[in-house]
Amino acid sequence: MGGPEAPSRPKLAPLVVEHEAEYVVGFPMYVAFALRAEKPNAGLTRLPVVTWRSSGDALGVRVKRGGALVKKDEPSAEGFREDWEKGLKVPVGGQTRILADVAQFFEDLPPGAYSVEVGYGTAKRQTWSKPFPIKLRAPEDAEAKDLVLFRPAHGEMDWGRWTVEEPAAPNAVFPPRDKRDPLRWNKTLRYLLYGPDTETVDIAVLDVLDGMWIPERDALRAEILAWREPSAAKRLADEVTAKHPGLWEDMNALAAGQGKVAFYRRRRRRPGP
Amino acid sequence: MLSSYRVSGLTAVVTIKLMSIEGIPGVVRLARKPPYALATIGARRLGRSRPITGENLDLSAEAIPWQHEVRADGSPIPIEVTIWQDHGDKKPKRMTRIQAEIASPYPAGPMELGGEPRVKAVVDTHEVPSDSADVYVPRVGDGLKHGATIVVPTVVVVTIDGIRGLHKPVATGKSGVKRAEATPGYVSEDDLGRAYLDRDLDGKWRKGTQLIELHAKVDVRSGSLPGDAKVRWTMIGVDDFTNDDPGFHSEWGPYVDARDYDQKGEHRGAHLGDNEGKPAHDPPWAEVAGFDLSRKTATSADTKIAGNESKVVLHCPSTAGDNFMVRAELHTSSARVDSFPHQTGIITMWHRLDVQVLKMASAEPLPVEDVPAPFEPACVQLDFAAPEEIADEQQIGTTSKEFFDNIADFVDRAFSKKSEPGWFCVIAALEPFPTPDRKGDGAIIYHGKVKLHATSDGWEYVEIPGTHSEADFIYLRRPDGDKIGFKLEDMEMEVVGGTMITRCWVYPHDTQPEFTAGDGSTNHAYAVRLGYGPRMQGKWEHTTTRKGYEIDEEPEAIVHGEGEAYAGGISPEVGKGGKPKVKKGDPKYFAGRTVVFTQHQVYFDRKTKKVTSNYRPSVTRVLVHELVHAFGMPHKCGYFDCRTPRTETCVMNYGWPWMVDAKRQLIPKTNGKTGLQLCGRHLKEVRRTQLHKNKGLAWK
Repeated sequence: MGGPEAPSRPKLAPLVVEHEAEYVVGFPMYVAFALRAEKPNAGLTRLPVVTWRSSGDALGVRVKRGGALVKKDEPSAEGFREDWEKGLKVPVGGQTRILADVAQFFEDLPPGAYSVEVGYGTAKRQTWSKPFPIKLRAPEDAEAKDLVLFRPAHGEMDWGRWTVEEPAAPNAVFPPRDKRDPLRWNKTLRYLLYGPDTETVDIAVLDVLDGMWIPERDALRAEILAWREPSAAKRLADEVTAKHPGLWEDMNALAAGQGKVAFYRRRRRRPGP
Repeated sequence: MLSSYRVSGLTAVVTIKLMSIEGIPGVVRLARKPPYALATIGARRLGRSRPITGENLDLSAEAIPWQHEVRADGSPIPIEVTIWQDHGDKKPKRMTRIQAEIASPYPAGPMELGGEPRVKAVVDTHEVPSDSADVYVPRVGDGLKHGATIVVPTVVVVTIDGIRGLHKPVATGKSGVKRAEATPGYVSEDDLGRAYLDRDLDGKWRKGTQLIELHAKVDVRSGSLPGDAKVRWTMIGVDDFTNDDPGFHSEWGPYVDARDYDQKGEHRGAHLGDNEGKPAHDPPWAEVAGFDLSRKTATSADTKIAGNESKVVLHCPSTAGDNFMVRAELHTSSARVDSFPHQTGIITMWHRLDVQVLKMASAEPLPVEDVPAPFEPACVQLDFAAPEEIADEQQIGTTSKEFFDNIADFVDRAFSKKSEPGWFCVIAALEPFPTPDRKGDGAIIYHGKVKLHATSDGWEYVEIPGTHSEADFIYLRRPDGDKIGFKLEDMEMEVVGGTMITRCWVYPHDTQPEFTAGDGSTNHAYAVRLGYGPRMQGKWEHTTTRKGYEIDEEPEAIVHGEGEAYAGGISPEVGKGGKPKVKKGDPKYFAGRTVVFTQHQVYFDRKTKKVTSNYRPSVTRVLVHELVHAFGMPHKCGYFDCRTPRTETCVMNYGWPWMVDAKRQLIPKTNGKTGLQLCGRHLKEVRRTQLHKNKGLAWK
């Protein structure tokens, strides 16, 4: 049995969260963080999966308003039940970027200023960020119209599914209004997946993705360029990985000819407008 | 051929009661494991008996009388008595067989069958008077006047001639997509009749409803029907025969039919009272218009006879595997009626599910024909619909994590009958995500001795020389030469004692042996999870008890780099109401939605673009495994299947872990034996499952 000096399982490093300054009630609330091992000599595998579309039970938050705790929800992902499930991986000495939607934790909270800590992991192995401030505001007119326009006829709003699912009408796809659009990530991606052909799409459509979105913007730009020039895919992917090492997995896929944009465009049932 | 139930040609109702088996040879009765007897009279199974410990076995002392009432038509009535000895994991041995017939006119009285040993029986024959019987009157001398009053006896034959809601199996234990059908006149004379849970009389899904409607014909052969005559219906209890079959492993008997066993787990002879479900109404009888219902009790009711027929609706017990018979007889205060009753065969409650079959255009067809048979012991009927083609999607995601993002939505879109209660779905897809052209384990990156360490909370690790961030899987050799494989997770590289090493953490095998039928949620299915590492075992993520696979502290190890293990099939879990997205903290439910990847490299050759010879057995196993999940059941139970001789493990196991015994200790060398059948626990818990309580299915 291990004594006090014996090694213990590697731990996750504290999270450093990138976030928007303000979020809008009813819309996604994306934050980004890098998963790292506490010690640089360690790599982590079989970590619970969190993506921008679904977080399972691996996310948690502690939310304060005016110093008072108003929401506490611990990460509680289960261990894997399938031996072949790979989960998320953090390379030895490396990092894995996570884009996560924390809106589900704010569904019953009113607009206002909050201090938020984000947690990630399982009940027994988890890590947390330091508190950071955000503002949650009510939707403005244009945003309220979006909520009505995009809400499905039945069921709850699932912005992830709305983003990647083929629109009922080809002309129902348009780019984000501006950088303040709370759906700027979703609309951009949807526009690339189901909008004009990637040969003709204006890369400037990505410009709305600034701030915390710069790694995703660079990755999408590389994807579009790789679509137009497949032989450059590896070089483009390597450039993104060098700048944003946490995107290694998606860029490996791009280098192998498995870019997301191409994937979704291939499987859509109708040609784009 | 003997017809036990049909009215046509009915000549007698013959009751045969087996009283004893006598003269059992010492070589039989003195066997180390006491033998037991089984019998059949006509189509009816009897037994199993108490253990045979003496020269004679008094069958009149059995908890359930060894008798059967046969509606004979002139054909001989076959009787067979066999004596068996259980041999645990080995094939059971039939030690004696006595075969006999009772031929028409079925003489009443005591009789002996066979020689050594012999069966003593008593026959009671109730002849049906012929339609043209002569009437005899006293004789007197010639020329004398005389008179006689001839009273024509009232002879009434009651015949159950139809049961709505009862279905006759058409391919028990065999391949095929057609499993049972409503058959006019069928009254379960083969004892295999099925009534369905959560179905109305027309077969439509209706929550908490299980009904049959019995029709009886009242045939007045002579005389007239008394004015107060009614049909009395009686529900009769039956033993669950599952565990009495010599081919059913004795270890699983007490779990499946506890009442047949004593406190030590020894079979004490068949006993009644096994039904676990309750009828939706108490008393369970309901009136059919025109056939007034009276004298309702929990087990019987009377109905009016109108137009020489009578009908009643019976609310059946609500758990799959529950069984019963129904007797119909004339009830009247008149003493001058000679009546002949009729009884159904055994009717058993079953789950019945329709399964939508979807196939991507380029996917291989799913071998669904072989899937239903393994579910039959669990009283589950799966009716697969004809395949419908859907558009190809070569992969569901570009990476494994994107696959998990997409799979539930993909199934939600494709499964067009998801809102219809009673439907499951299987989909033949192509690949989950892009996978390299390799299969199985990755390259060997280390082969040599390692030292196994364990932390105080039970996590085990090894250290191998060099830097190997790609380490993914390890085989450790046991002292007996067996290799046991484990996944690796979390690598650390550091200099230890002047040498650069990679510390690899060993992911234990998990087992769920304590599961029960629940609400279909994964929380319930996996509530008790045990872990078994190379040298440690215990509760999951707390394997602090030393034992595990009892691998030496410094075993030979073979460490592989990342391989290509991925799912052959997957059943995406859903939230309440079948929603594909589940909010944090909300329960996830199994919902009978299964995707099979028919281009999995285990059975698909990428060069020839054809499936290999192991496609059919492999995919059949995947389909059975995944559809057992649909009942809220966990996998990796750690048990053998329910049969003997014992050769295979439950279909819910994976290939590499060892099984566990009753004390939750690993049983050596039991990996690699996964079969197609269920263990006794899965069998029983699938029966107990109430699908209408699964909030993920949300069948209303």
